[in-house]
Amino acid sequence: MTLERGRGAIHLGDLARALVDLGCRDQAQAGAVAACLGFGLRAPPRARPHRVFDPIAAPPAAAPQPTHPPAPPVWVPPTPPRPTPLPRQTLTSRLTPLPGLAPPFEPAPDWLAAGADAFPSGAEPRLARATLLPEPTARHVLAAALATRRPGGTLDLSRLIDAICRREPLRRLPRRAEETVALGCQLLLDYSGPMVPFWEDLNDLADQVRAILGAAATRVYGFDTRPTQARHWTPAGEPRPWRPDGRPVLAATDLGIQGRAQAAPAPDWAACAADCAQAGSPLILLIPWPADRWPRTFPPTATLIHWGPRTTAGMVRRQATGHPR
Amino acid sequence: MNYSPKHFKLPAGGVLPLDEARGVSPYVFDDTMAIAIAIDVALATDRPLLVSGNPGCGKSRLADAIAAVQGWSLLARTITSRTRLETLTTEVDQLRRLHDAQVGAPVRDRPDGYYLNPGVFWWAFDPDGARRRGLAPATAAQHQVALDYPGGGECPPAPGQAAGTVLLIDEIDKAEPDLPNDLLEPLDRRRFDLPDGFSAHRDGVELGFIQAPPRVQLRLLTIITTNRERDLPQAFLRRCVLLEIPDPDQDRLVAIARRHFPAGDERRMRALAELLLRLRGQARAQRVRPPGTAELLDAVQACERLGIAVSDAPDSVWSHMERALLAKDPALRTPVE
Repeated sequence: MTLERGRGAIHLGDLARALVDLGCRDQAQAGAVAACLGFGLRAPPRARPHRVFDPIAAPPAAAPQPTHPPAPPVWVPPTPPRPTPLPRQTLTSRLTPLPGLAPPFEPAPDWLAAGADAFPSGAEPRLARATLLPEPTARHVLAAALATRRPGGTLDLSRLIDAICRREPLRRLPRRAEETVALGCQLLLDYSGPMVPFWEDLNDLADQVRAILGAAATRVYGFDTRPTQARHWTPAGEPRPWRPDGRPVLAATDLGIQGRAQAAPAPDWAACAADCAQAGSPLILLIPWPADRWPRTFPPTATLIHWGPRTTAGMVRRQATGHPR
Repeated sequence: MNYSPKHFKLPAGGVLPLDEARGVSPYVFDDTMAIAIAIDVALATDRPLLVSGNPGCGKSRLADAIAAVQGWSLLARTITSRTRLETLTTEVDQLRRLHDAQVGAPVRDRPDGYYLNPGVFWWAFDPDGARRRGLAPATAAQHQVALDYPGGGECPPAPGQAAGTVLLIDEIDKAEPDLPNDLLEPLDRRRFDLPDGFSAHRDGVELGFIQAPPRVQLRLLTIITTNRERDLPQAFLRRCVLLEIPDPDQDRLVAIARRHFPAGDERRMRALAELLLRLRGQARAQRVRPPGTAELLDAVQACERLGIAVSDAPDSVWSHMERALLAKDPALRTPVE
């Protein structure tokens, strides 16, 4: 039997095969076929590639020299003459005050009317920006951070062998716990003043979590400095207070440290961590500042994760190892 | 744009009629040209067809309808958060194996393959082997292994006979995030590996994997549905032919209801369709889940069987029916006076 070779993602060969097989002669038909295969779709947003220093990597090749003739030299205006130095003594003003303000019937000068057009009336262009969790890794990092454990995974061989050796009747196979994101999560976003530089990242994070867990399984709460006062706004515009309910709680915050090294967290966080522990909700904190600035006095039940582009799923799992869920 | 399907046998008028003898429910192909082109492209390129749309728009029923129209067999599996790749390929019944090992002869001498439970991919790729759990024919007969074909539609293809199968993997977005990537190999290469230490007999050869026959011998259309509750991995999307089923308009809703209830009250169906569209607009404004075609059919059936008349009264039976079947989300309900 010959093994079938994997064909990978849909490519132009698939389009050519479909067009030939279906006998498309019409431009519109060909366009519809191409659309079915995903051609013409908007490319997924990509963050800028993150450059990491790699001592093993070969040095980059030198850029090829241009073959076209060099451009003519750019004309540089002559240097203006030095300004006349100011006199040392105080001069008498020659300006004479007007008798009153300008009369109201005086027409406004043209430059005043044109000044209103200083800014374009159209929508402000959205600048490309890299999110704190780049698209290629966000899925894995957030899935690892929000995973809880439940029974039903692979066989637990040690318990199985133990039961066989003891000649205990087995009615259910002992299985190891497996990770799942089926519980969904509560997402707490810190919209306090010191977090202003990260507000766009907070919005991106909400979109990323919804994309992984589903909108129905994600409940987003906002707060200003005090997480216990977080609110979710219903479609009808009614605020709903946050209460941990057993689902993982993912909070994106600076803990009120404002980037200062080893500053104490805002006092409300201890109550928040206690509420989560009491409800059985794992508390995961995404902190945009590096680990050396994190507070040392935070409750040990929480998992602190650096919210940055170099964070990986493996780092998150290692970080969470001390907090079994 | 006119398009004549080449592989897909589009029924006349874009409507699959009711066929009680074959157990076929009616299906109204909405946007027939887009559906026909997408199915043709999926069959021409041998790529899975990813069908997206709002809940209740007929994504899963599309697979039933295609199998009925093509005269192919249908295999279906609904994904849950507990579904794993092994669930879809093959699982080992370890508990039974352990019990048999402790009981003694003759059950202790059963071959390893006896404990393999084939999943839908195995049934789709090699129905004959799945029926024997991968055992050689003589061994399967000796141990009385003869599983029933789990699918519906037409009979499964006999060995070496050209036929077709529609494989429905329903609600992929209910799965854990890693499952779509795990499916890449079975979908792409039409093969999967058996668990370590297990093998299957195929044409007198013992293999550690299950491989579908060449495409000319087995036409397989894999249909994967998604409610777009979650984003799917890009690597998965890049391997799929895309089809989006739009929400039907009022005329199409009435046509669907009429096909399911030919003797139904036309005026009431139109009123229900109008009500459904109003609630959908309200749901979109409130950002809650809109009711779908499936709910409309439930409402039509309830009204037909119970003789519920159209009414504007706030506490009428009609209004209660509306709350029970169409306005299920509290945000859509009007308070009872």
